[in-house]
Amino acid sequence: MTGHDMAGRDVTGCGTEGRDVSGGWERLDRRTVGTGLGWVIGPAIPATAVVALAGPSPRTVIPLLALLTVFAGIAVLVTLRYATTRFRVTDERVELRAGLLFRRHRSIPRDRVRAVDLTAGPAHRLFGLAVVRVDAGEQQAGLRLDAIAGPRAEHLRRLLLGGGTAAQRDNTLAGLRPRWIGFALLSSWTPLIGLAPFGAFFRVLDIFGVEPAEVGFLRDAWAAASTTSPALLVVAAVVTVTVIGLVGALALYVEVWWRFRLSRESDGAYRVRRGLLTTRSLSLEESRLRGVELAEPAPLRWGGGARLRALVAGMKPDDSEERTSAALLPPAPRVTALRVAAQVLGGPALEVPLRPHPRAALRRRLLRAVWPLVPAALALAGLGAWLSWVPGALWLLAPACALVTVPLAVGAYRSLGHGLAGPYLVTRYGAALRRTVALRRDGVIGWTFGTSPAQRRRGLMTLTAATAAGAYRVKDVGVGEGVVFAEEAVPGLLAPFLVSSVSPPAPPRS
Amino acid sequence: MRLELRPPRHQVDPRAVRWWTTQALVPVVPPVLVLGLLALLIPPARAWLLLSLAVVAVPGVAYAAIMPRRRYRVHRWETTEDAVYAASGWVWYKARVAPMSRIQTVDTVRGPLQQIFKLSGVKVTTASAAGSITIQGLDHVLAADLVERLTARTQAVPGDAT
Repeated sequence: MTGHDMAGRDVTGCGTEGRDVSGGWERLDRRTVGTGLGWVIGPAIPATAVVALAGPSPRTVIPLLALLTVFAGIAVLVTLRYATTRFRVTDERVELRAGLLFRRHRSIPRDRVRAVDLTAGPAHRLFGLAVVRVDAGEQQAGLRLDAIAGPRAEHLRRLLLGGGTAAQRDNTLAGLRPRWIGFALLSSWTPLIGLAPFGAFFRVLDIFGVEPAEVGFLRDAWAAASTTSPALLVVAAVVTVTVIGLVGALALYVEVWWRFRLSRESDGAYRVRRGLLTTRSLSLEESRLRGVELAEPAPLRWGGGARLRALVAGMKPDDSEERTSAALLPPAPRVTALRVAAQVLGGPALEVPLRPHPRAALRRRLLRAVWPLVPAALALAGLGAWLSWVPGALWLLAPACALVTVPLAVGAYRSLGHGLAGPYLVTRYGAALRRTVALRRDGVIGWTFGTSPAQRRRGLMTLTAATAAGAYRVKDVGVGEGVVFAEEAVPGLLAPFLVSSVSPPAPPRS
Repeated sequence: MRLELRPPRHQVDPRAVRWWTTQALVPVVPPVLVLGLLALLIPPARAWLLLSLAVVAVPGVAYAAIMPRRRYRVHRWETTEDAVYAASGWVWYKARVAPMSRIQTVDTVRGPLQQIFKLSGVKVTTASAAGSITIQGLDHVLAADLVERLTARTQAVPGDAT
């Protein structure tokens, strides 16, 4: 089979909209080979620069050559993938054939297609290409076309999602506002981002076998550092890391969320488009939506911000790529997040007043905040008495920790709440990271009632609702209340297992 | 009026107590025997060997004595036309309910130890990673029968199980 040429395919693609696009098999775009070359040219430039700076020697040239060989290998693989991959879209199925030694044939029924995501990294964008990922729901592995021409990818997306290829009557729910950029600075990742470049720098030195002491400016810096006062040094280090962290967080926010737009397509699917260098277009079918989660991590919450995430059926909760792809909004003002959530849920479910949990839940949290400090204080006091160089008053650190843990415990208790809002059940918990989850009641496919010994003493339990989009907990709810809540949320399921009682429950006997 | 969740109707097979006891003793007995033998053979190190023997044996035996009985009191199960209901645990109790219409697969699980005691577990899976229910320690004939009944029942109930 000889591939159609670029122009010819675009004509067949756009000319036969809605019907079988192409009876035969199509190739990937031939510019894909170009992106493969990017793998060689990209890393070669900084690597050569390093060698040029450090002066060529076996120690630097050998790892460099090894590195370049690996990247050349990747380029060959990309070319092979281009040469061996064929795909086609028929009336019933999407099919992909790939592989040189192991020929894979993957076929997805078109009515099983749940999402079609387009991604274009810098190299792909340079060549006008996009990577298409077709997701087939919970049971089946999806398929990936890396890469085809941008307009063709967009056309494929519309075709597979069955949305009218007619007028693009999409409805923008939210777009990026310039002032939201402030929320980037409240990221809890800031310290890590600030430390990352230092880690990467020393890693590179390590790879090339360069001792840090051999690098001129590091030696000078060390010499300067050993003469200044330690206090000044600590302040300088903290300021440097914070500044780099803040700049990095800003850059990351811009890269990920640039030109962000959440829209609702004519077929009811939600679509998120975003990205500065790597652009992404993610779609989410309404039938997969099980609810939303509003997350308010501590620094973001102080600034009045929140994150909003869709709870998507079949999403693997551990897959970080899938987690970020479920984000409905960048870190944004809480009111905006609530407004978008209300639009997605069809009502202000996240804003309903929640029922508080028993005071026993507060006592449990306070005890947990205070108890671990006692052995810590004893250990520190013991050390102080035993070792002369440990200051005697060091044990006071432990009670001082209570200044942090007790407010956290109170905050955790005040977060606790549960309630019903139309077709949704709502639960909220968490101190440093407060989560409010609205979950479709008809999406609940099982309940777990869990009790620890401490919970049994206090008449509490943790109720877990299992859904295809993960499990969500109502923590430390009163035993009776929890059962009533579960029965209200999903009427009838628990009915055969319920008894009305006036007296406290008897433990199960054999 | 208050509502309570009553415990499921059926208990697991009494042989499960022996199975759990064996399971608890399997990792304890070999090191205890080895340490005991060494203590016999090496008199100079006897005190230390006996001490480490006690460190292994006392918690191990206590666990084997307490856990199976408490588990037997807690582990219970029940199925109705519309749902599977099972309770498990011995320190942390768990009671799980899954509607019949959302069940995807029903399997038996049998480890080598379970086979010795002619026991089986029944594993009921739903579309949620967190939603599967395992009823352990059933008589293997009863378990096979239960799997058959549940499979027939889940196929009869309409629903796409998600």
